[in-house]
Amino acid sequence: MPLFSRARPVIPLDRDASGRYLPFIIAGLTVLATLMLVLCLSLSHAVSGWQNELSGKVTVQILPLDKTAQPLPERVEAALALLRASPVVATAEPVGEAAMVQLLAPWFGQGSLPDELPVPALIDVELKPDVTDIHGLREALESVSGAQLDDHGSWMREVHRLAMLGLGVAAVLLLLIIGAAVLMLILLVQTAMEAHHEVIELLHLVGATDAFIARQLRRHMFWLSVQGTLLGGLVATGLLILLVRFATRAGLDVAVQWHLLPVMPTLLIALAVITAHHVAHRRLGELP
Amino acid sequence: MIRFESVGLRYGTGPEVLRDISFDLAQGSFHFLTGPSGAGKSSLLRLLYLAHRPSRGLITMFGQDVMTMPRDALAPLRQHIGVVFQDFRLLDHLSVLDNVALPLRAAGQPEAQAMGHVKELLKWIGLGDCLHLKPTVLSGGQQQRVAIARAVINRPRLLLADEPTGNVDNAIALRLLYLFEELHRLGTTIVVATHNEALIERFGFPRLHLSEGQLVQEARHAAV
Repeated sequence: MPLFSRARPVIPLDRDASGRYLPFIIAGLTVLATLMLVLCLSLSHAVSGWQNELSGKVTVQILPLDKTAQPLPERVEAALALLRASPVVATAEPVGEAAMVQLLAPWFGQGSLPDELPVPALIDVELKPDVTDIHGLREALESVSGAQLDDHGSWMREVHRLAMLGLGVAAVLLLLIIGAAVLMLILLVQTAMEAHHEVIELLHLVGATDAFIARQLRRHMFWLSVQGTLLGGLVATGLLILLVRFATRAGLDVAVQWHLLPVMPTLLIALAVITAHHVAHRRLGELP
Repeated sequence: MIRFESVGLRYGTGPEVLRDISFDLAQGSFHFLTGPSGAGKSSLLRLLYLAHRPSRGLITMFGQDVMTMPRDALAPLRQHIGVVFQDFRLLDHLSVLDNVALPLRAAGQPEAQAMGHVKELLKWIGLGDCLHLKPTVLSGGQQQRVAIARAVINRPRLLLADEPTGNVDNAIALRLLYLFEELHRLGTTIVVATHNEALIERFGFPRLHLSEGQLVQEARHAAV
């Protein structure tokens, strides 16, 4: 049995005033839901990208100590020797002065750092593949005065927690939007069936099956939701383009997951069709 | 073909509007359904065209027990029943053509085949020039013909008419009854609810007479 009949509509649903506003309501819900989904999943994608980028990498920091301690370059050499001899380390490279200047530029500006500034030395360490336990490495580095190993774990945990919180809030909001859409669709189908109960009863009496009548409602809701989601999808796309433009101008690198754009419109169209189908069948079941 | 046994009907928790109705209608029979206003004629017709299930009793139609039949199975059964409603119940947003085609589309008949039948029938009843008009621009008599065409388009085994002569003059009423008689000769079982005693006398078919929800004059096995 076809999902949508090509015959002209028997129930004059296209004349309903309530149906005229539905595309605009669905458009609004599509914009909200699409922005929510795309932005949150883009954020999640970015966080997991950072995690992947940082996994397998640690930083060793050698702090400057008082003048009685071993000089900093010697301690860096000792740490490098220890790191390069370790079975879990693939590479260990000290961060050069130019890179340090770049790192600290936001605080001290471009140019060479003041000599009196107690800047620690940094060593970028890349671990061998599949290495997760660096406990031994941390213990070994304790023999070098002022050496600290940073696996970026605490920072990533914070970022991850924040991202999860954002995703959780977005998921709740998405569910609310979907719930509101379903309730609205149920109400609309029920109203339409109430408004046209005489036509529906006549169809029923001339031998139309529930499936035949439900198909009329399903087709109507399909076209209304297609109009609404197309409009909403276009507006959401426009807003995202603007957002990316503003973010780029502000120096932020926003990687929007554009392929997610059709997800919410498709979901809302499916919801409209499924809701119309179920509500129609339930109401028609009340007829003898 | 149709059997009612001790059938009762009440709407909701109200009193019984039909009580202990029992009769048989043989295939190809013609009956007038008579009785004063409020006697239950429309309720009995509603039971016959399966718009209601009775509160009690047994109804057998076309050899099938309507009482125990699953709801989904009633739709194909309704496709064998044509109804001419008192107020015609034509759909104003559809053309004459689409109104008459409604039962065929509901039955899933191929569109081209359905259109052929509908045009042929409308031409036969003198509405060949009104195919694309809306019912609202037709006269009462023309609307009635459209309603009859819709009732008979799928060649029903049972044709029911609720006061079909109520809103038309005697000449049209007579023509209408001749049309029903013609369908009856072709084997259709017909039940016509009417107050028109002159027509009942003229055609002489047996009557089912209702009074206060009870059948007081039945016509058992009244096949003609």
